[in-house]
Amino acid sequence: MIDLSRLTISQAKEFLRQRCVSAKELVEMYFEEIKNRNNELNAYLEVFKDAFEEAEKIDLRIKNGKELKFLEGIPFALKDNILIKGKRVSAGSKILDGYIASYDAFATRKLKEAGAIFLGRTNMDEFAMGSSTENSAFGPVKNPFDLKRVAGGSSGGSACAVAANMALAALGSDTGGSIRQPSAFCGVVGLKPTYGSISRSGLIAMASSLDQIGPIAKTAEDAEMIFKAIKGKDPKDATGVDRPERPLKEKIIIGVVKEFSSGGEGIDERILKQIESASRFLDSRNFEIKEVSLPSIAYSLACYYIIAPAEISANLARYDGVRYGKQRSGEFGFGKEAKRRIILGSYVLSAGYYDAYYGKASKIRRLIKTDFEKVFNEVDILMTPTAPGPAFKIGEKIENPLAMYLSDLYTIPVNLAGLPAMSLPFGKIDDLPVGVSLIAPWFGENLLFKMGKILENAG
Amino acid sequence: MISEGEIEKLGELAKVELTREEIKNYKKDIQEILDYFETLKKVDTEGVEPLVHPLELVNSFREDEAAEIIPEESKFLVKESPDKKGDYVKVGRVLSF
Repeated sequence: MIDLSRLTISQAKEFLRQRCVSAKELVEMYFEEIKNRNNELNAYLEVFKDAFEEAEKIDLRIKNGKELKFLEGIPFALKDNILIKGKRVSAGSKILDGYIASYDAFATRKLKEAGAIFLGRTNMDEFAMGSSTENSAFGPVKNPFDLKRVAGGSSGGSACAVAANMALAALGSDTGGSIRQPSAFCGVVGLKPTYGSISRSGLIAMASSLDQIGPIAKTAEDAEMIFKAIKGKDPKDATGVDRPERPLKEKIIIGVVKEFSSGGEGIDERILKQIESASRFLDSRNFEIKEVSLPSIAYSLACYYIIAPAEISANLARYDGVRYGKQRSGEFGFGKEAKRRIILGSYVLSAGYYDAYYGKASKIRRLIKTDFEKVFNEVDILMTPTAPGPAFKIGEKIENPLAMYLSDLYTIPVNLAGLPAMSLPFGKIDDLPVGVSLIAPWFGENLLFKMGKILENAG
Repeated sequence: MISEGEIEKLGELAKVELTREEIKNYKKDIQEILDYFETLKKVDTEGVEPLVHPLELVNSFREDEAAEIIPEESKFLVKESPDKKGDYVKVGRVLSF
């Protein structure tokens, strides 16, 4: 009997190849878990019954002795802002009620080409705005470790699906931490790749200079396989980049960020102990640990909450009753947080305030990026907490937007600078999983995978 | 200080209708967020070039060729538009007399 909680992509591939399990049986096993748990967890908004047909086609190919493709038969969950042709897509909003995608997202197409099976589309904060999925128009996702707590957000449904064995792997999107933070809260691995390394074609836009698609998986190796399958540039995303990965160095120096070493408002100090413990472990494995300083990083959160709403207010203009959506307000209009960010974004871009807010934030964004450039001359990789604490309670922060925004304190600088970063489960606090994040220089995903494999089993 | 009047005006400009209750709440939320932004004033940005995109991309040109139009895809898109008449997207009156 296969234990789904321990199953990885390479093991599943091996089982399929050796015909220990058929692709259809594998889908059935996941559907059984979804049937048992999705009612309480609310991770999936829709389950695709045609996954069976896809699996049967694969089984036929296996029977005929065909060689398995890279991710053939691997059951995936997709965040509901990534288009799958012919399937409904809602971005967690009622404004897209009944909308059916007319084409595949680039990442969807790459997964299809690799033979992946889609089990369903997962719940998320409306238009990916939020850190808890409480902003979903379809109710919050629950944390599989404690149903009174959030799964994190905005890719909470995808992280929960993987953690609760309702999918072997998933895709999410990350604008300020939306892959990494829910992965940390749910005890799984989440990768936010370098900006531009995966075409954003077919990803419903939130903040275009920050958004990036990435994998959520059980292990660093699984995340690596998915990243390799979906990366690439296409003509439909002019911001894509196709650059070779950085060569790996023999001796790796790990930097810990001085500005993140002390407590503060909303920070659970036990998280900082986890970083100390991870540092001790890496030190024992003969890695050099060095404290580094990024003086401008303290301004990241304020900077982000100017830039992101500015881009959001522009991106959400397309829900205008002509291109998309019937009405912007009312029952089938935008939810509370979406409207809040549209108003805030319109304000910071308005005449008379532009220079003081958007202009100033864009200059500080440069300072933050320069800090990272300098620090990567001293060290090869950075290690930080993923979130300032373990999963918080449902309802705890929803009435206080600033407190909610603070839960992305550690993840946001990475998006502002366009860097790749990966959250790995590392120990527990009060029986709840917590994550440690690694940040590599631009296009240094291979280093994240290498170090992630060392760190993921050490917590 | 941001006023309720400003929130209402921003709502009108951004085409989102706000109830009195929402205007009151957003005023409070947004004032708190703007107060938080005050910290940025301390940063010396004299002579710093703004960064509007993380990778400072160069233009990504394509060949100037007519792309093939797939009739099924166009039909699909029209079908999914909020309102339609035949093969056309139907929009509300833009000009008023």
